[in-house]
Amino acid sequence: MKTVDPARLALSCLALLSAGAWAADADARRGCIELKTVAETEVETVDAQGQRSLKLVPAATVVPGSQVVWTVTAANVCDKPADKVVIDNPIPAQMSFVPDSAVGAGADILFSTDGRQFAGPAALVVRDATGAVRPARAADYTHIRWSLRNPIAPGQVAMARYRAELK
Amino acid sequence: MNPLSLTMKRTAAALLLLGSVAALPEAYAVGTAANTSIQNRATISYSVGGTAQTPIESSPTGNSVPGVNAGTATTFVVDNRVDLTVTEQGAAATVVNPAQLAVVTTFLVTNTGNAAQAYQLTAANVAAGASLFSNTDNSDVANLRVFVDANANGTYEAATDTATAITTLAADAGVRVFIVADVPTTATNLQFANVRLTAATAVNNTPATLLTASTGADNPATVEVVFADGTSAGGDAARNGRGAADDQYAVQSAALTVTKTSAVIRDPLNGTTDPKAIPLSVVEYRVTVANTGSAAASGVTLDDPIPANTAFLQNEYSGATRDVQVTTGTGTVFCIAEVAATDTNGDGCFRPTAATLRVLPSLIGTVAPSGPNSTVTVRFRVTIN
Repeated sequence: MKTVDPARLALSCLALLSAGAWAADADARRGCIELKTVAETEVETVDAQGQRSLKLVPAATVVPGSQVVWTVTAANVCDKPADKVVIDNPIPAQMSFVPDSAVGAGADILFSTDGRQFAGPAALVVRDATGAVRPARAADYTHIRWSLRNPIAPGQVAMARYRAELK
Repeated sequence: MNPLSLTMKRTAAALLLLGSVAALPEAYAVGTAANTSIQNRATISYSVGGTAQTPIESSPTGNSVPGVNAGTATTFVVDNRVDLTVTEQGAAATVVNPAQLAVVTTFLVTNTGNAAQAYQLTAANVAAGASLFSNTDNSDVANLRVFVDANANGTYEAATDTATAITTLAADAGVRVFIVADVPTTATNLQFANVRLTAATAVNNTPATLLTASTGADNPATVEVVFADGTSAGGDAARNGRGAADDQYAVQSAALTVTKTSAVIRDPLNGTTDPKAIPLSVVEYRVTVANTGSAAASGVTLDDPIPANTAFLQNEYSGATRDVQVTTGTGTVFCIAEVAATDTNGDGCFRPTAATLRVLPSLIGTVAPSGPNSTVTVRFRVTIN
């Protein structure tokens, strides 16, 4: 299973930091946002005091029925704020969205069942096999969109996260 | 009352092949196949200083290069979810007879995991006391063997179904497995023998090697093995890659009872009116064979020594032409009990010695466990010396 190597991840962050902040148009090859997607699974750990806690670890063992926590982080690597930020994430086809699991501080979270029309859960509908329209269920979602209400300031990181279950 | 001896052999009742024509159950939803790579790539759009910027795609380690396909999908590989079910087929005991060989119970092994697997198969007797089909196990069968239904026809065929392990079974697929056993000659009517089939998940195409659950740190390059099976028969633990189910043999046998009564037919002084048992009186013996068991008895031979101080009397039946009367559920027949080493006149009875009557299976027929053929009455007459 492919996982993110934390050491490499730290190194790449350091490299970016040491390179300093870019101007919005200083480097045509670089944008102002560094976008990262990480797959993790939740494991229960017991500490020396016997306290149980849930911890996210790089997605290790994933079988049908397992839940994976997808985390998208957007870091502003420029010296100007980024606004009108919209993060789109198609849910992998082999996975289904876990109801009410999408989070994102200061974000309006919308869903889509086709990748074109985005709406809040209450407004989403799908056509079933008979052509009848019914409210969309979490399992019908194919895309998630986080619209950030506030700009990401230079050096700041916005996070979007959701949970999906492997079919 | 005189000693009687009966010999019989058990009818080989038709072996019930349970559920042999039932279709395989519908496929289980077992989920995404093992080794599938799950890919995920997010996209961000944003503006800087009021100017819309080229969207940026994500990567596992962070990407800031704008443009389509500049990012890299974050991926993981679906692991091997090992799950199986073993179910008894037919929902009823297999009816067998004592000493019957190669009696069959049928099971279905289904791969409910997300990858093809092999399975080791073992058959065992279940400890006495276990209840199944409302019957309590109180005996064992012998020579337990297990075979895979090679041609998927649901019927055990010794020449075809020779594999003793499942070499490969695709996700969602099921295959029937037979336990084949021998019933002890000492088995008796209404004994029940439960048997258990256990399937243990092995490496696909290598049934000799059991699969083991992956432990320790994740290896990014391999598909992890995760046991997801539940508990099953006989205290089989969950998440051990094994499944088990029980089936049952129900022994049915004939149980013959023999009753012998006598009645004085006539005496030399009173004739047939209130005859008494005095010398030269004629006495009729009536031997009744009844089957109180569960299976028909065939090949029943009746031997009856003529009592001391009496002499076998011939020509007492069927218009004074026959010696013995046999009444079965299908009617009354007669025979002549000649003194000979064998039934020389071929009518079903003879006397190996002058003082022994033998009635052969050809006259007695099959003694059924119920119905009109469940009793057979043999009559013959003697004179008191």
